[in-house]
Amino acid sequence: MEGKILIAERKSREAVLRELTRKVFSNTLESLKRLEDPVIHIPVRSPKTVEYDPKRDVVLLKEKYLKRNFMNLGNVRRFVQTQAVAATIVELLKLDKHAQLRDVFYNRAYLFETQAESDNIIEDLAAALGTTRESLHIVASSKGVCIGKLKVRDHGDVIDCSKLGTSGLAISPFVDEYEFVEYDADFILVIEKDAAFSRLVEDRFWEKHRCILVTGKGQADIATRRFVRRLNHELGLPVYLLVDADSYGFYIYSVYRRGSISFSFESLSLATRDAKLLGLLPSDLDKYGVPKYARLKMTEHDIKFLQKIRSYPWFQKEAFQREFDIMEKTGEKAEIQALAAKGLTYLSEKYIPEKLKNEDWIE
Amino acid sequence: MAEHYVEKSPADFFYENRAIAGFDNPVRAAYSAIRELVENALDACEENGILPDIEVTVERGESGGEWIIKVKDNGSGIPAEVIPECFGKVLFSSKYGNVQRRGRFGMGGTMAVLYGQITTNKPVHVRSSVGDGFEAEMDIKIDIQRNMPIAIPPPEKAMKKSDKPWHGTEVTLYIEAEYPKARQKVYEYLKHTAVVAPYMNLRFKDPYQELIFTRKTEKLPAKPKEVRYHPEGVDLETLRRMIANSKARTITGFLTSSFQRLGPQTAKKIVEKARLENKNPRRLSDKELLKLYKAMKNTNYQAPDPSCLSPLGVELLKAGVIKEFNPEFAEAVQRPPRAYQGHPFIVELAIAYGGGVPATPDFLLFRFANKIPLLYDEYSDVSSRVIRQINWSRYGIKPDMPIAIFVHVVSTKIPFKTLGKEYIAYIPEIAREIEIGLRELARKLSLYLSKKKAAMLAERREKTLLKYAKWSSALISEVLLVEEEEVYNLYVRLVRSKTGGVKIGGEDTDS
Repeated sequence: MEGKILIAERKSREAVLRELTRKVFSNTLESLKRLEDPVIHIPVRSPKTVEYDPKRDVVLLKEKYLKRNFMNLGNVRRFVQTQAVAATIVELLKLDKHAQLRDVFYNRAYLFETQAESDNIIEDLAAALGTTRESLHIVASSKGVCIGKLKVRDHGDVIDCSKLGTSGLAISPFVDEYEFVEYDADFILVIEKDAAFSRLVEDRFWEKHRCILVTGKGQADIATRRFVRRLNHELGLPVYLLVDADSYGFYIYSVYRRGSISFSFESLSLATRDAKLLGLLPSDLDKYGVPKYARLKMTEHDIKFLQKIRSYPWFQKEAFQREFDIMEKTGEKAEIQALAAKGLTYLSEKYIPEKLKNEDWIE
Repeated sequence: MAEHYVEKSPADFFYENRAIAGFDNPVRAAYSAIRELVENALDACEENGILPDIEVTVERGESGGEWIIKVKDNGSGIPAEVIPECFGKVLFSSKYGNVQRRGRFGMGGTMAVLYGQITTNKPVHVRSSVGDGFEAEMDIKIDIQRNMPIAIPPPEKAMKKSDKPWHGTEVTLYIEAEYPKARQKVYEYLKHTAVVAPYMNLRFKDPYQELIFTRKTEKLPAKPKEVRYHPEGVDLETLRRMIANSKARTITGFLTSSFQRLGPQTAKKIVEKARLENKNPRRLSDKELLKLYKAMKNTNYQAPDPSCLSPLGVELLKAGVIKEFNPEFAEAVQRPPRAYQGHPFIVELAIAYGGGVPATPDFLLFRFANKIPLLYDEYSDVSSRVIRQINWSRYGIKPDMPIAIFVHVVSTKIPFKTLGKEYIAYIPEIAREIEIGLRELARKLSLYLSKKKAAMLAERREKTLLKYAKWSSALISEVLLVEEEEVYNLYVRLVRSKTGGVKIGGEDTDS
């Protein structure tokens, strides 16, 4: 990979406060005094600057900056929005408090139309300071849930993830504060869909198969990805993914496995580098006899998205391309729950155990 | 069987063909009568270098449909002995000869008199003074069959001493017409006339309203010079008449003395070409005359002398447009003199944008020929056709913008398509000048519009930037604990210093 790579590091409160004040406020004031157009430099996070690093097998952010300046009608709004978010962060850091994404949006709502705008600028600032969003004392609420024989310590409380009924542990946004105390499991199973996760919980799959179940409920948030990454990294447990047999399933796997464009500067601390795609593979549909009526027709959008992801460098392996070929040929997709057509417990009693036994996954 | 021939007098002929002169119905007749009288009044002033002061009144007459039109000018006046012919004889006019004038053939005014007479059976009343302290006052009727004026009292008995010295002519015409239906057209006509005659004062009064058009400039257009015919501009009949009136004894002598741009060398060549050497011009047979005519047409000449033309000039035209429309932007151009078929012409054009110019679905077009507004048959007019041919979007101009276009064609012979003088035929030479002129105006307007847009954008840009500067100053003040006002002032200084120099719009720029 050419050029410098931008890798986020956790930074101290004081360091973040100092850098943020300088880059966003002091520099602006200095420019104004010199009668110069104030500029805030923001790393570009776009498919063009994000690159796949085959050596490390993750997507990383190349260090390339854009000038967000004041004297430009196309920029001035974002320029001031950046200052607004930075001012909120400065306040948080000074008070040593944390805030949710939504809090930041409401703090200066007069400058934002949607929360997406402020969320995006928080990521801009994290990237600009080469640090994580958590270091800015901003956290995203997490959708992630975990159940299994795992005990974590959170702010002094020890939580047993096998004794939380069917609701499980709601993964905290401050996932880095967790301490893994004890565990009794052979692998981690990450399930894309909440419905399939509930099925496995009810079937007490984690107990029977000595594993930890995690779901990100769709596209995984930062905390869930970081949680999975830490389980894998710190406990040395293999991670398997169970997603829908469609283009988005592959994409979700790819995000867990190699990181995303928005958070490419944090990829190294978010990516679970040996996550394996267990299912549901397009080839499984015939292999496990999923009836035709339980399969869905791919939409035009699905097909377009498939074309896009099948060109990603990390999907060039034959195992993936073969699955893409099947989707392209049949035009079919299926949800994990489609296996219920074979019986309600088919997923937990037959499909997963068999796949694991046969080591029938791709990566 | 003996055929019976009746010779018709010109008056008879025009009576039967009054449609071609614009008197075909009671509405049109009201408009045409006023127009003809106003044009005569203006000509009477301008041709004598007098700034026109015209008074027009329209009143109800005795019976329901009768109207009394009175037009008074401050022109040079008409000598008493000529008055009967001027108003009572069709095809009598001071307006023959090759020079640009409003009217042609002296027909319009007489047609008005004729129409008044046949509808009301009343004579036209004329009062005129040449400024010698005396004035003539008489009633004039036309003996239609003989084309002879009947003046009561006769000119020699019509003179009396003026109360106070004046010069000019006052015409009172009685006419049976539908004036109420014509009046909008009359107002329109007067307003348009004011555009091309910004040097006139005109007071108009009818039972509905009073309109006053005030002189905006003391400058009169240069007086046209009378010039000889250009050889390309005559037809066979005119040639025959010219020969009849010529005293020349040789054809070359006739040619060189009667035409412009035709010297002895060319004359000799024409005579040789027609094989008419040593012929007496007065004794040419019809066949020989045709030969001469054809030889003349087959010869090349210099373009006709334009000094017989009297355009308004860019300054006056623009002044007229500004006076009547008070536009946000106005510009005028004059094209160099050109000729078609031996007739010299000049096209001058103006464009007005915004201000008093209303926005309509299409451009507002004002057409003038020899200072006469043309109000009918716009769609068929050469100007209208040229406007439709131009791709205006190239200039960032759309027909629904508040734009008025003025086209003034002056010529010794305006190629009207009809005798009613309503629209100019599509003559390629004229169309070309109109197009070039319009394109020049379009470019100027386009430049103005883009400058205006740029200024507007710059202003909006400054406003937007300062709005954000306000917020930014508050944030900087909050974080760095500095005076908000000071930061804002720095922003103001920056925004003002760079306004105009920095790009508008766009995304985050790459460093």
